[in-house]
Amino acid sequence: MWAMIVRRLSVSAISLVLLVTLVFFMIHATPGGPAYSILGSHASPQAVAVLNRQMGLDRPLPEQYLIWWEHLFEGRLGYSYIQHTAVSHLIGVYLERTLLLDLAALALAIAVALVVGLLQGYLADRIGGRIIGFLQIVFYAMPVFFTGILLIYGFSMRLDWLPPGGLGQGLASHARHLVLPVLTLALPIAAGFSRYFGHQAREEYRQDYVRTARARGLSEWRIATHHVLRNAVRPFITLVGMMIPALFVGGVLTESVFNYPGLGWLLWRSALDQDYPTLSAITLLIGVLTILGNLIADLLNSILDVRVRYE
Amino acid sequence: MSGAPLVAVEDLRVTARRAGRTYPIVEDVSFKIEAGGLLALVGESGCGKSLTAAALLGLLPWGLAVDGGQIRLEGQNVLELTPTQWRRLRGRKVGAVFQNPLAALNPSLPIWKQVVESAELTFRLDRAAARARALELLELVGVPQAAQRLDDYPHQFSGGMRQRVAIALALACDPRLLVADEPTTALDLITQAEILRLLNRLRLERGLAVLFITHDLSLVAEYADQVMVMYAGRVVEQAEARRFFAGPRHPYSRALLGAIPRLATPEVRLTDIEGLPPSPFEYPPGCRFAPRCPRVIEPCRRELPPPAGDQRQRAFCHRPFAQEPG
Amino acid sequence: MSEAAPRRWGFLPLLRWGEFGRRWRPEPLVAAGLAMFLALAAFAWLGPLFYTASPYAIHAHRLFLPPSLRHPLGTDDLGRSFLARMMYGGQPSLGVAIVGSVVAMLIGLGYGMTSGLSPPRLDKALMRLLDAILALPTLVLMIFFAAIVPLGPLSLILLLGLVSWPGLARIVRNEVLAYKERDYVLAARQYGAGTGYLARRHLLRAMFPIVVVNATFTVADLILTLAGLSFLGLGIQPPTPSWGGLLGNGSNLAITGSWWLILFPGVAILLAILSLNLVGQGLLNRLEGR
Repeated sequence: MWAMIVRRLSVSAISLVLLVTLVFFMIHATPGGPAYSILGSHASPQAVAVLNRQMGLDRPLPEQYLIWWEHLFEGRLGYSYIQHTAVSHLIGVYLERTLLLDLAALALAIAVALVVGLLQGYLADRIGGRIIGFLQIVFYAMPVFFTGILLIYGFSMRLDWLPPGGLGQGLASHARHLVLPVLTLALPIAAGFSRYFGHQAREEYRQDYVRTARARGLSEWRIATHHVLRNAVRPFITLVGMMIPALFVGGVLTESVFNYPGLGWLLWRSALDQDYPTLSAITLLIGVLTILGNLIADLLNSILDVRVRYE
Repeated sequence: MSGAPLVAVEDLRVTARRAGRTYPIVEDVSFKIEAGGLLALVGESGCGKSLTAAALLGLLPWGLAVDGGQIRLEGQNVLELTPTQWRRLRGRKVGAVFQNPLAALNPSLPIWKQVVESAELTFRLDRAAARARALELLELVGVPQAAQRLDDYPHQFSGGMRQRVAIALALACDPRLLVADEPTTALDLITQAEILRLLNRLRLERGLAVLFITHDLSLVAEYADQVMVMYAGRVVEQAEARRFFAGPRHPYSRALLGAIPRLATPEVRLTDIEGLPPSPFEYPPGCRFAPRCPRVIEPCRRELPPPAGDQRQRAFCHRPFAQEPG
Repeated sequence: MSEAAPRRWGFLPLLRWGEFGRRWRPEPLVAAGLAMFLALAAFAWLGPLFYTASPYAIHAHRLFLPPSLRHPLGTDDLGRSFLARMMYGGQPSLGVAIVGSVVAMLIGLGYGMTSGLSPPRLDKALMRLLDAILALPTLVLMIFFAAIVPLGPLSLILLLGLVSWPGLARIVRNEVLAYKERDYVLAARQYGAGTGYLARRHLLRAMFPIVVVNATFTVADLILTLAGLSFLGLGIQPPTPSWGGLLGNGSNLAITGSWWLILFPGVAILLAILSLNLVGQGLLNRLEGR
């Protein structure tokens, strides 16, 4: 057990080192060096020289690499010359919004997937089950940016029911602004999750205990909620873990489509604006979140697995 | 309703729809079971005996449907009920036990919860009453030290014990009829005998009627009071148990019995039957056993055999064996 | 991630190449998906032979025309023929992804076989490194790279290949491990067959079905990633058309009500991904013997 945890932690540590190193070398590989990348390619040579001294960029590369780590540990993520503020100040607000969007989408996707999966398991090869199976494949292949635009076009432009994006003022407005992005982000995840879960539920519905339950006169609702769900939901944590990367990636694109100012949107804007301090900080942050998410899901999964084995 | 038998099935017909056509899978099945009676329904796998039971329970697999006949429980034709009404009868009037006790229990619920689940919902028991009822049921089916085992999970029980627990599940709401579909097939010989003794005790003590489905005639020879043999979706012989075991009149019944050395007499023993039962989608005209029958005569291949014999022993055969004095 | 997590590929080490060839019957999913994908490819590469309008020619007098007989898919904000742009846009959208997945395939095969044929300690270390790489967020790193180094088609191919090989590497390695235990491999070793010989003679053949299935899914993933990047303005750069870029442009122009600028590229991307998923799923079903 402990050996597994240590091994798993070491993997995350390697991921982290890879991530940080990759970002460091990419920043230093920019044409003209990091000073240009920070000040923009039209900066004057004097400004570049000043900045280089200020930031220790005139020192040898290995030393700079160590300084890079030091700054990371101190939480000094740099200063955005485009947003005119320290990057670390930006991150809190944006992170909060991203987590709100992602968790809402995750919750919705799980809820939808449980209902659809149970229904699919119950229907099995009947026509309804086949239709669900087909829709899952289609929605799973649906790129979030296409779904997003379609929803904006339909619900905002044509019907004018919901705002096309951005951020609302106040709770009600905020919620209204979240509807379309959450739907967009949840759709492919719900499709993937429900496919997996539906398969699981279907296996459970084939078990004898379902027939026994029916023979005792239990209602289909009771069988679904008290018997099938309980058994089919076992690989749940694994599923959530497998969805985390999709969630973050989908989140970046969704935020961009809806101009929803979260981390993903900030990443996109800073990439277009060539705002390298922000860009590298966000890349690191999302990277760390993804690595952490994977780690937590894996650990939970192994712990549950061990429990199942002891039972 | 007095006078009516507990269960009466008349001319039951089950059909499958396939590619727009309907195929009869089970035809002309009729039987009655009185309270405390034990009817043994016998046949090879695929002969329609499990489907007859499923039709009786209203649990036919998707794609199959009852297409004719009547199923009367205490005089009421259940085929006229709505699905919900029928569902309410299951558990309360009819219980069922199936072949594989390993899979019959939900692996992730403690057994006491499963045992009383239907009773809990039907009679709205509180937790204490439910536990008490669970204990009572487990003791009834002979689970030793039942009080200590209430919170155990199914995998902590042996196969035979699990089948006892499964019977307890079926009895939770005091049904009048128990459908036991090959309940002992997955068990070893000694456990088989124990389960049968349990079922026998239950019917003698509580007047429980039992429809016992098996492919093994030797199992039920001791306990059954009626025997019904099915082949390829039709009843081939139906008799009081004593008469039947004294001398079955249908060649197929004799062949089944011939597989049991203890019961076979030299002059009626048949060699192993060649071939396999036909698929429901290609039943032959005439007697369905004709292609495999050692006593086949010309009419067998053309006409459905008429019943031969009386109420106490009836074989559907063109050329039945003579009736033994029973 | 740890070995505990069940993966789409977990069962694949059990499969052999022979099953692929012997039990081949036209699988409806595979046939439908393949037909769909070939139709899209024909649209992109053969279409321009029949419909010769330029995808770059700007016509100020015919902006935002909806689809009609003269302009089958309408015209865009600069009056360019949208059908022509859709055709030419298909070439990088599909081509870069296909070549990128070939790159991924080569790296994955190399890494996986190296790891599988290495002594256990090195194999373990390589697998741990692989786990670490798998935990990195691909699209985020792609955005980061794209912002720093302007990407052309060639660098996109390389980059896409570089970020998408680890999945295959793990499968190949597991396959190699399963393979090493097989009787005839052990026998061949007794007769003095070397590692390199075994790899060439037996392993690559055994690997074939898995690599094909994986390649199908990888191409689908890369089409999606590339379309996403281009949609964000960080992939294939205008005026070169690509489906993702066209969709991005269309979404910026959604306010004009030009639905065709959104619908057609979106559907093209969807169909490309869908068709490959169908092929992959169909092959998987066949391999699983369902």
